[in-house]
Amino acid sequence: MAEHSPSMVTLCCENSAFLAAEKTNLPGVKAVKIPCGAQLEHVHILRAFNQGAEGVMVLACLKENCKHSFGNDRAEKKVAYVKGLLKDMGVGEDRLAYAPVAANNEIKYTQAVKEMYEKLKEMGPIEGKVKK
Amino acid sequence: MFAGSNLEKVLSNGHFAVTGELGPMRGTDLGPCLEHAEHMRNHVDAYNITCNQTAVVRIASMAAAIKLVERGMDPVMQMTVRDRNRIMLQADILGGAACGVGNFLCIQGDHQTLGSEPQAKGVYDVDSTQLMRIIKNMRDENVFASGDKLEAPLKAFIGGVVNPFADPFEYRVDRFAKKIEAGVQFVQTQCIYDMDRLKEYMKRVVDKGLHEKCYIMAGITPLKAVGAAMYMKNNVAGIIIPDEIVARLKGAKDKKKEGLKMAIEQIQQIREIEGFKGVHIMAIAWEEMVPHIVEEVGGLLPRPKFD
Amino acid sequence: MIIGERKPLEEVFNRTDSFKKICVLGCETCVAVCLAGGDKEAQETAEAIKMHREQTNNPVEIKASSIQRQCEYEFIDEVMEELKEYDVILSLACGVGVQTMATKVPEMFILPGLNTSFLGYPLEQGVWMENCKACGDCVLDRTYGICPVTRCSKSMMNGPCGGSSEGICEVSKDTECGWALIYDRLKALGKLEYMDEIIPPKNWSTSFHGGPRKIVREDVKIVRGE
Ligand code: SF4
Repeated sequence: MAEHSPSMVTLCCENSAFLAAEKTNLPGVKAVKIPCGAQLEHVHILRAFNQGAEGVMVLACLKENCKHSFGNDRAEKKVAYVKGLLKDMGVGEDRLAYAPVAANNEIKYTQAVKEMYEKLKEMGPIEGKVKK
Repeated sequence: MFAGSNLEKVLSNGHFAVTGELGPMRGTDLGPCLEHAEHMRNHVDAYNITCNQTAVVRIASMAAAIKLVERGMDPVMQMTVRDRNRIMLQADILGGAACGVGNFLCIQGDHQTLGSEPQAKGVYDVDSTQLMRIIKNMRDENVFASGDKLEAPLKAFIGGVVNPFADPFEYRVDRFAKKIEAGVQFVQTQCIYDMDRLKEYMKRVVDKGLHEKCYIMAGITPLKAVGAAMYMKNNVAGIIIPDEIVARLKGAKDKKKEGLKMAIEQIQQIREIEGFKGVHIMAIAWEEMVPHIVEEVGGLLPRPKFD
Repeated sequence: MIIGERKPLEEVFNRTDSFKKICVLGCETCVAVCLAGGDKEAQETAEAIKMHREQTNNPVEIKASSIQRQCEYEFIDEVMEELKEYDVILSLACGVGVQTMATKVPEMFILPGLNTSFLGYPLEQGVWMENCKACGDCVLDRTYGICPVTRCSKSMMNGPCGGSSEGICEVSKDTECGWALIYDRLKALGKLEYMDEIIPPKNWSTSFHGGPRKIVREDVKIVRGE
């Protein structure tokens, strides 16, 4: 059986993670620009899943480094909340993660995303989900 | 005489009263409870029957109280306002009195979420202070809470509890005064371990003259084990167990013996404090030790007898 | 305001599983402010149901929408026709909204997506506190602004009970003793004598214990021809 190649979405803050993401090219990963962690809503994460993602990662600025006020902290909390939803749905909370990344640190971005991607590979497709 | 119960006679004749506590069973056999009562028959003046103590379902206090009356013993029927509204509270008072119960002890009751049925609805139609007043009005004015008349008069000796160890401390004595105003005639205290705080409380009580208006009985519970002491210390709101007490128990070879010894000493100590008119021994799950405690305190036997 | 909390997803899924066309309808008043049943939450819930349905291979047509208030007919009117296209409405309003919807659109299935928790206020962002039981006979004048019916776990009128310890209620270490609060407040206001007054048994017939309540005010009723 061929190895499963999951599709993954990264929701990246335009002030940090997205600038790093732009410098990378990771197969199977789609980086989506968000204006700030504070602007992220629970529904955006769920939508990513509903539109085919098998894993989502939210990446915002480093601690204490939000361009606005605590957008990164808020994003982290929202991720924690949606993890709860995913758990309740039987999708599993491990398909969602949060990481802080600086604008100039594509290495860390790559590392974090790759790590998550490997996990998704191991997990395989979302159970019950009809592959589009 | 308000009820003419043995307890009332003992107290009103100026004797230092002794009562014991009995917890009814969690099944239909009241046997062990009655055995405990028999066992302490010559050592106590009356028997408190707890009312779903710690919010755990048990044989109703009225049922056990009536059984004691049948045996010629004087029950103190506890009534929490947690599980009954004013209709049922008054009905139970009538029922108890009709069957010879004379002492009614009004308590608020531990919150239902802390007991055996944490999903239960708490009633709290009236509070314990209001219940005292209701009984007083039934007895003295011959009226129910609604103002309707009783068809036959009620005799009742009204009891309550006070807790010197709860907060706000500075309000506790005023709260006691309020209960006296509401109609309480005798009170038992929460389990005493902190003598310093107790003395301060009693000083204030005596300064206000409350000990002249209401019989105050000291609540004593012997400690059986270090674990139990620690549990009460940390988890039971409104009980203070000083570290020295725990240390003393810890240091003892025979914990049970030491626990009993401390209880005996505590009773001897409270007899020295102005204002106390009796002792209430709550030997929870250790009822068989009540006679021993009473004997060892000294000077408490024989219990007065009345015809 | 009315404070609510989302029902567990599993319960929502179980209740809605048999319907093919679902409208998740938020309410933009109280429950939106307490972040439980507004437009955002409606969208989120719809998305979650969609995801669950895909997983269980039980496709659904679902839409999230919201109106200003589900507890008033005139706001429901605005979306009435549109609602009728769905098999079921999962209402994220409080119990009042759900029932108003059910009365207004009697031919439709209306399901609650929230548990209506209590009447309260936001203590701080993310923390809500109950402080009124709508007992119909306010006693706040006696206690100068702290409700014994609501803030005392045993609704005592003459508290505090013996379980009050260092300002904390016996029920839980996270619950303040309402009567300790009242005492402190009366003390600060120089009104401690209020603590000495025996408050008589409360008249509960004005609360739910008198049966479901209704208020009729002739002065504001609209009479025909007026
Ligand atoms: S501790 Fe305070 S709030 Fe709790 S039941 Fe007792 S009086 Fe009421």
